[in-house]
Amino acid sequence: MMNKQQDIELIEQYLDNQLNEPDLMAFQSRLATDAELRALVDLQRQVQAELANAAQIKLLNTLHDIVQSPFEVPTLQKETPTKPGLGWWIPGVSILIVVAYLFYSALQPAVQQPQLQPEAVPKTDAQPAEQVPTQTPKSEIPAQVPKTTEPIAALNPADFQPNRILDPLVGSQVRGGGAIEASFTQPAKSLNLTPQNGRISFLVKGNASADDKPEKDALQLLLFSNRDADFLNNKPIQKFPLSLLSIGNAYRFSKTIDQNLKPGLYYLVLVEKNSIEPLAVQKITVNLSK
Amino acid sequence: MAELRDQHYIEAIKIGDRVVLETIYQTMMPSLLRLIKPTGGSIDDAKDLFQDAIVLIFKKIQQPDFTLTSAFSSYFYGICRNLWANHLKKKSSGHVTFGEDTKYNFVTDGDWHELEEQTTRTRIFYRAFRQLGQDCQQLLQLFFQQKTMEEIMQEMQLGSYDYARRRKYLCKGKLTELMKNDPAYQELSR
Repeated sequence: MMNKQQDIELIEQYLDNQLNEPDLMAFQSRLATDAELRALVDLQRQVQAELANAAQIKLLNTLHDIVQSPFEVPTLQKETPTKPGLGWWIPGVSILIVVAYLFYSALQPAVQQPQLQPEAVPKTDAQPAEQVPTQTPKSEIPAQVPKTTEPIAALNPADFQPNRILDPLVGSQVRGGGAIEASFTQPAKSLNLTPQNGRISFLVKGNASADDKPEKDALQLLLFSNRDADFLNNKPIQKFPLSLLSIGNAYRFSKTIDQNLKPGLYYLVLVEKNSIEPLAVQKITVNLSK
Repeated sequence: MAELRDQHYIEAIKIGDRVVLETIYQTMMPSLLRLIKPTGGSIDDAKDLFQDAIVLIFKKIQQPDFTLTSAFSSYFYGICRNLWANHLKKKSSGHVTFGEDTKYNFVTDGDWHELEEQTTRTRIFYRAFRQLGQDCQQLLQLFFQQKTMEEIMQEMQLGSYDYARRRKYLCKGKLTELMKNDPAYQELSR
């Protein structure tokens, strides 16, 4: 049994092809049976390669220094500021409505509480989720299931859970200083739509500006479900190419979306072509069909 | 102009240009924070993600057929999103600390998995390397950067060849031990 230092020396000689024939044979037979030694050889091979890569070590040292410097967390600038002093009453009224509803429900013992049945969600050709969750995802943002006269069983609260990455970006100037900046002018605020014959149809319009003249098809509109994973895995429900129209130094785009969507929360994400970084985000709530 | 700037970023990563890397850091960090904070990431996670993404790009651009097919910021953001999605996937497959039950199966093509693993291994190496003393760091770098024994002995002011050799093995032993004890290494070895 060799000690660690002897092993390290031996491995280095093996990696540098400096072992004589009998030592090499002995080492190879040990390697064949000793998984720990094999792992150590792999590790030492990596260490030698990393140490020999002077450019990478320089890069790692530089990155290490850079991230030590303090970084101020930026705040998003809303494009349409809300009226001062009114921000508090929206959640307040929502809470009151929920409390009143719960109180009312408690006084109606004869009415059977509907069960949440995912099977009752109408099937469409565009499913926003891979799988109906068995557990409601944790989120700091509460799901806002639209009020409906239909049985609540037809709606799945998970489909209305806000996307944790995209929701905070709704209505903000998401990225500034890039090659292209873009924003929505329509819908100017979150849309609430009720499908007609299972389909929703609405107009999307927006403006763009760029350092240099962009290609006509430089922007793309992505429609995402409310699932975090769909955005992170780059799995939009639909991609819509946009055509930029030049008006002086500015650019405009418009697109009519006609889509079959089941009830739920969706996000429109404006990106550069071949990119997945949001430039602007808007959201749509799809209600049950009438 | 934008293409020139993007190429400039790539060149800066190749040579480790501090000024340009700082610009990339300041420019991209807001996007990274917007990406990871809502899913439980911290500023430290964003800093790790930034470093991993740059190292991954550094490895990618060593390939002779590398071409940047989109804007640098888009490319960088895409890499970060994949790295973060995979991080969440690993986290959610363990004990239930992450409430999201949807699968994080990021979709990529080509050599992504290999590059990502190489980047993780480099992170493990560098984390261990930083824990070594300055003299160990310097000695190991000199040994593996094709310096002659005379140059090493002179630069490190070491008295004898044998002592230099023994020091090298001690430092290397310490380095590999630290790497083996890194939880990320153990996770890779599973």
